[in-house]
Amino acid sequence: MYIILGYLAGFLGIAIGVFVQLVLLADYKSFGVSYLAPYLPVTNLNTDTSYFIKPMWRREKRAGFLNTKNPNSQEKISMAWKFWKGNK
Amino acid sequence: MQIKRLISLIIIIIFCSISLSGCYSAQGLETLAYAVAIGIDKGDNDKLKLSFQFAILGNSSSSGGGSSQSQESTVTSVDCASIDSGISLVDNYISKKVNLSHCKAIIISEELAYEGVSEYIFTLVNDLEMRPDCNIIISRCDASDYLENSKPTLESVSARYYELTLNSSEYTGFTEDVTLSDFYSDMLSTTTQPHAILGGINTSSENSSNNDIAPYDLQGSYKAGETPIKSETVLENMGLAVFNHDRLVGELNGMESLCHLLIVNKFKSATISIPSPFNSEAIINLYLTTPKDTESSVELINGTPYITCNVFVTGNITSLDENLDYSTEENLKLIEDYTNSYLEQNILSYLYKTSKEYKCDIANFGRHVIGNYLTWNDWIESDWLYNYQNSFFSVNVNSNIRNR
Amino acid sequence: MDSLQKIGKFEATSIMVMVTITQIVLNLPSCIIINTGSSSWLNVLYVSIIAILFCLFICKLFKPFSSSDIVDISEFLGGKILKAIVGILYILFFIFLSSIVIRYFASSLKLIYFENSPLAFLLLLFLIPVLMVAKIGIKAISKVNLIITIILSFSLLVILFATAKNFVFEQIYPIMGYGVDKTFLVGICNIFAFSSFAYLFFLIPILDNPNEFKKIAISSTIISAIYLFLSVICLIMVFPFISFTDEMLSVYLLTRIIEFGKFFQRVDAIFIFVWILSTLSFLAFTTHLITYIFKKITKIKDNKEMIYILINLIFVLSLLYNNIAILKFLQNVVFKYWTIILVFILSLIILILANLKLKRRHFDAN
Repeated sequence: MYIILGYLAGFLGIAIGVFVQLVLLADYKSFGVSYLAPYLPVTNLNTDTSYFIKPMWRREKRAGFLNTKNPNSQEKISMAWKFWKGNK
Repeated sequence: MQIKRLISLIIIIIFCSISLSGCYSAQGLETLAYAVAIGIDKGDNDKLKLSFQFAILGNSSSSGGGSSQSQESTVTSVDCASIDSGISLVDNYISKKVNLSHCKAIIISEELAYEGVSEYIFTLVNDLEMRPDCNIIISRCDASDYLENSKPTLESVSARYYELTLNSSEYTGFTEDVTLSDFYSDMLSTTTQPHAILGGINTSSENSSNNDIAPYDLQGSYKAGETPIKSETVLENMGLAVFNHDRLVGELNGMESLCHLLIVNKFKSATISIPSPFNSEAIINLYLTTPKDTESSVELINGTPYITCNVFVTGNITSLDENLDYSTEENLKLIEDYTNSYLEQNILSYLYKTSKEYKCDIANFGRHVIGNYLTWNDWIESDWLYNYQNSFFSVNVNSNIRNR
Repeated sequence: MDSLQKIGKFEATSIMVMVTITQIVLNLPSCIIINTGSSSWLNVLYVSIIAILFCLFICKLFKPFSSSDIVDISEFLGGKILKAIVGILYILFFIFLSSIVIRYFASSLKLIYFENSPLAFLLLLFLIPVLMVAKIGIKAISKVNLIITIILSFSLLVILFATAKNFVFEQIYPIMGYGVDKTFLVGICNIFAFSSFAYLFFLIPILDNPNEFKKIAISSTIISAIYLFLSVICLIMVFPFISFTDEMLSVYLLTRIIEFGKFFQRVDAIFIFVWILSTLSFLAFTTHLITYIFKKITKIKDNKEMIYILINLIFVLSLLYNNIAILKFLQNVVFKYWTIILVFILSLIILILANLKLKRRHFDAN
């Protein structure tokens, strides 16, 4: 499809193709979750935004688009064993 | 429902048949002739003589070893009335379409530059294919001769040749890398005048040594085309051409270009020779770099500008003459003083030459003055470019000599 | 189009910012620099401060009318007649803006890349995707807009910082440019650069959360002001500003100067790609807005067919201009004064009067 667009209108055609494809993607949903779900819409910067993912031990909240019952997936300090000094 | 599908199918077919006739503006790569350099001369039959140096594609793999017999480029000249009409004449003549997007150098001959180059510069700047960072060279001979003689011996691709020859200014200081956009903005600017690279052909039969210049000065006192070098490459870029708006008014030789580079902070490194304080016949060679930018300031005293420059250089002694010990304090101090006075003398002579003889400010001193004016109309009324010829200079060189 | 869809906070901010940046790319700083010369940067600072104050004032005026935009407010103030007048004025304004944007951008693209293609072809190429996308709805458009705006703003920053080595600091002088009066008094007309306020007025009903309107408005104004300031300073310092009178796309000329060593030269193609995307999303949003206003004025339930009419209108209007000179005149003179009168003066008057009327009504009720 992009080849045809490129032949039709060169550079402009490909840019148009990208734009229309992105908009269509943003509209489709699969199993109730939209295709671009982890990337857009960005409602709360604390949950997983998928552009810059935090390391495993820092991900405390579950992603917003899943609509889970429990928003927390780990407690606040998940690697508690790291900070113990001496015997418990 | 059926009718709707039928109608939409017909519309799609019509649309496809109209638009699939192709992208209108596609240009194949084989149908273009890339001009690597353009030369503009005064024409014999018509107003201009336009020369193009075309790169012949696909030959570089077959030559191997850099033999200079194979033709990597060819030069075509045409007499015409303007740049665009020349391009269309050449398009008609050769088999491919002229494309300027790889043009690396614009060469304008001296006699044409004396009459004014603004219309050519404007045409070239407005051309969308042209790169704004191609170099402008004013040649002392005809531009078509310059192009024909540019046979690269150490490279295989002529475009790289122009880039690299003009980069030599970074380590010799004898000329400057002036681009089309620099020239254009200097032409329109109210604080400075444009300048360009001076180039020429070295015909060694005409060179004779000049007897009244001292040996340490001889190295820089050449302009393009005069250096006594014997080599297969006959092109030479040395010195600067000074313009007054769009007319050529004068030329600077190699040493003066070095001073110019020092003042405008474009100096990278160079080797100069100064008279030795210990032996009046000998010379000491120094490798100069600038640790700090030159500080210039302009004061207007009763309307006449008084310009002061503080130049900072670091020198490394590169030649050892006799067994003198260069590491003692007093020897170094002596050499430093000699360097200071030598450089000051040369810089002052360059500055007075641009001011009194050529009456052009190519070092952009106007930018220090423009801050004193509050509105644009005041600045235009003060007419700095005309006022520059009345200026007085004082130069301080602070050198720091180290030995290897 | 479905029933009214809502967009979120970041998406709304990104729409405002994208409107301004699309205009920056299309020669807006050049219009400013022609007007005020070398003191344009001072002028832009001054105008931005006024714009931010104006924005705060507008937010305060909008507060009593939650979830209603300027057309509803004008209905409240003057009945159906005023609503129709204001609505038609805004529709004409947006149609005019879109046709100028398309025409200018398509002519520039024609000059740079497509010399042999007919202009109508290029214009159609811009408008047909807008047609396709308008069926989908505002939510998807605004999501894509967010990505495009981030890429666009990042690319603009890259342009501005990559040309930093060509800066000549003294070109900012003389400070007062053409004179103090021209910089500050006459220069206040340069507030037309903030024509994104026209979009702001219609934003409240589309928002998810109308309480965030103030935050969105202020943040988008500040970001637009920063970009405007940076682009004006960059252009002044790189080019001698006398050469601005005959340039088409000033920021494009900036991209032609960028080079990193011998490898990265003439990277303008990437930027053109991003600018095409941003123009498309700008057009998509504007056409949606026009149909929305039209729906409000005329109370049509379903305006799917309205899109075709609108696209045709914009297409024909953008073909109407014969050459660039008329286009530049329209951009510099007509668009400027229309924005100032409509967006800044008229809407302000309507808002103030509506607030007074509301206060009087409460006073009477008490």
